[in-house]
Amino acid sequence: MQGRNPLMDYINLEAGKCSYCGFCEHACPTLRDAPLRIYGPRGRVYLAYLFSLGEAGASAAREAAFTCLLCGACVPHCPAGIDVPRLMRALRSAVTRSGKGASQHLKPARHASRQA
Amino acid sequence: MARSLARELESLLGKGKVVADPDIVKLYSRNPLGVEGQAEALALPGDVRDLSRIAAWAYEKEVPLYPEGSTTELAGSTTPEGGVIISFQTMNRIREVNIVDGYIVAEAGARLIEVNAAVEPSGYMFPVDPASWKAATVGGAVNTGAGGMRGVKYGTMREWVSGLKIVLADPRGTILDIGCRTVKCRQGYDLVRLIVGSEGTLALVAEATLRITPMPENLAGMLAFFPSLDGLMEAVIRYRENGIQAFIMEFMDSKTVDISSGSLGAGYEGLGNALIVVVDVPREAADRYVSLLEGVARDSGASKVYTARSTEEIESMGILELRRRFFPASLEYARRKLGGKVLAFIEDVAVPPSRLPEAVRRIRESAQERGLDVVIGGHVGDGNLHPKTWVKPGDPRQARLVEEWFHEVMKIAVELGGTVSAEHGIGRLKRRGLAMELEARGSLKALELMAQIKRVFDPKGILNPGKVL
Repeated sequence: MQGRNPLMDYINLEAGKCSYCGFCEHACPTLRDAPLRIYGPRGRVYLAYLFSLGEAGASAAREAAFTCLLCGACVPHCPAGIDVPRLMRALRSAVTRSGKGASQHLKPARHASRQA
Repeated sequence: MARSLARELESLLGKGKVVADPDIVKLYSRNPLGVEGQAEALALPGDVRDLSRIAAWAYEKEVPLYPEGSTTELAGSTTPEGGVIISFQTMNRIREVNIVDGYIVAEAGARLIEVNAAVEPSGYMFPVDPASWKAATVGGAVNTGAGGMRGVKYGTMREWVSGLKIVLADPRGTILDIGCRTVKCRQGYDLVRLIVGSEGTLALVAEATLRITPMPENLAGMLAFFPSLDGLMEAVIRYRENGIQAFIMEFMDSKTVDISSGSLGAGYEGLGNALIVVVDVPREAADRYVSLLEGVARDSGASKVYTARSTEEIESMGILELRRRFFPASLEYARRKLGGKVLAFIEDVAVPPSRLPEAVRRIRESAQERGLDVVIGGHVGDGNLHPKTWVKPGDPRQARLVEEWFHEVMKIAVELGGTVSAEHGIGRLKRRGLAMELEARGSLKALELMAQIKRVFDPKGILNPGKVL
């Protein structure tokens, strides 16, 4: 996994700091609109980590990365000090470079939100 | 299989309330310890009627259901093994706030931070504060029977849930409204308290009526550092002898202090083992209480004592934040040390406070005998300890040593008159410990009673199978 390229190594190291505590989620504006973990910082960071390990598809990684507003509202709440906006920019580059993964997830979560 | 289950569920609930994408389902299939499972689909009910439909369908098809809040639990109590995960993220409304009658009604997916935000403008709070309070949900806290730092004064969820709306796993997905909105309530057998702490194994919790209490007028407190843990524990006992009713009483061993302080940039590294004591007292009495706290700490061997006479001072000193970093900061330390993924083991035993010195000494010795890197912190005011260690997945020798130690810690607690789990629950990780505790008390029959209760509520065994019993 390590040593493939600096971008993937950075994603792996930064996202690997996440303890999955979820302290970040309440601050995320997109998670409020689309209540599915992929649209919150915890899910985005973990997907980035799985993507760096080759354990998540480019489609989900793309969805996670490009729906992030990069606003950084989650950053002060992260005990591990993860720079989520920087990580998401890196993930955007990585999935774009991979050339894979069409966006397909956003609709269901928004729909669920409206129904609620 | 996963797709067909998801399609069936979607036809039942409507479009957009079911997800089968494995990459998304994966995000709901692990907890912060690194315990991972797998499920076939994720359901997002919009209200209690949806929940009822899911329960009736699962009953008919015999599909396991795994209710989840924010999966911040630490006992493997949410990990799915096939079946359908129910996420309450779309059931997160605050239904009612009633200050005069002293309660708030919230759906299972509302976070505790949101519950507090709804009552704080009126000068009230919901007092149960697990370290995960920013993420934890009402349903998760109910199912776990959560506690927290303020447990020494306010107890756990058991004391603060006065009513529940639940859904049964039966042919109709029956919805029950149990408990009361009054403090005093005799409604036959206490089903509310049976559900609280049942870890999603008896019924699906849709909504809870939670009692609230006025926020303290003023807090005063102390952060003291002790070169020796014996001295620190001696101070805890002396506070109790002096009739100090703490609002918060926490400790962290020296390694945990260094890790947490380092991650916060708080500058407490190298000062030793920390004891945090916060009391709820009017400003007029703050000086008197603070000098008592400081005097006892110094007499017990504290080498450095910081004091605060107001809530604002406590906040500005960041002493509670230091304690809240215990879990995430030590996990980060483990990751740095071991590299990559780690599997954390966090204990949750409780002993009578008078036995704390012996408990801490024996827990440390049992770790040293096995050559384990262990950190200890906990809610010493109520005797609840959280010793913690970790392993790298795929190291069977180390995993065996840690599992042995994990069980040994529970044995120590039981031998000292304590319990294997104070607030995290039994989940998957402590079933053996629960049996050991009951056996030590000559009460194994209690496990049989629990199994019978489980069958009455959940005859097909589809609610969070593999947990508790």
